[in-house]
Amino acid sequence: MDVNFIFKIAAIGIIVTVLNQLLIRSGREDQAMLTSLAGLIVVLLMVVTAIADLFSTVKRLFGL
Amino acid sequence: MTATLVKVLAVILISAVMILYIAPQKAEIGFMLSLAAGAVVILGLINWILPHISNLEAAFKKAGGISRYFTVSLKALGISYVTGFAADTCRDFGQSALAAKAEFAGKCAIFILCVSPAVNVLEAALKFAGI
Repeated sequence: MDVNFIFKIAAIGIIVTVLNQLLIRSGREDQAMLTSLAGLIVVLLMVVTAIADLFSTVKRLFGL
Repeated sequence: MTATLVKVLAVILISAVMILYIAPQKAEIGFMLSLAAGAVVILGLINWILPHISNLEAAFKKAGGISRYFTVSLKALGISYVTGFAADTCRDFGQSALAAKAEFAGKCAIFILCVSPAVNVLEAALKFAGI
């Protein structure tokens, strides 16, 4: 079980949140939005890989 | 066995706490985190039960013709796991209509899977009744 994967996503979430707050406080709302979008895309790519892995494993195991 | 179970439960609880912390600030990353935690946990569980399913399959193979029905039930189990995962995720995201559609898709798949064994049973019954 790859627990590090979950921690990695949580860390990205926290870092993106902090960056977002910093950029909003310094009056750069557009860059804050781009940062949160970039974080979301990175996390989405990681999650898609994990789910593809899961589905292919289930397919192989149950002979679907 | 208990050690693995406790490990899985610990991972689930830790993920839940992390989601609880992240979701109010960044809802979308909280959702992704819950999706990733679900995928990781189910992958771990599959690796846990894989050898036991192989054992069972080997035992059914020895039984001969009946192993075909075991394969069908195993496929139905796989379909229901995958469908349940997708439907639960949709429900977590607040999309219960899409969750119902995912469940319906799984039901269709299992129905298609079950048609040929049902036809076999029906033919056997008809042969037995002499019709």
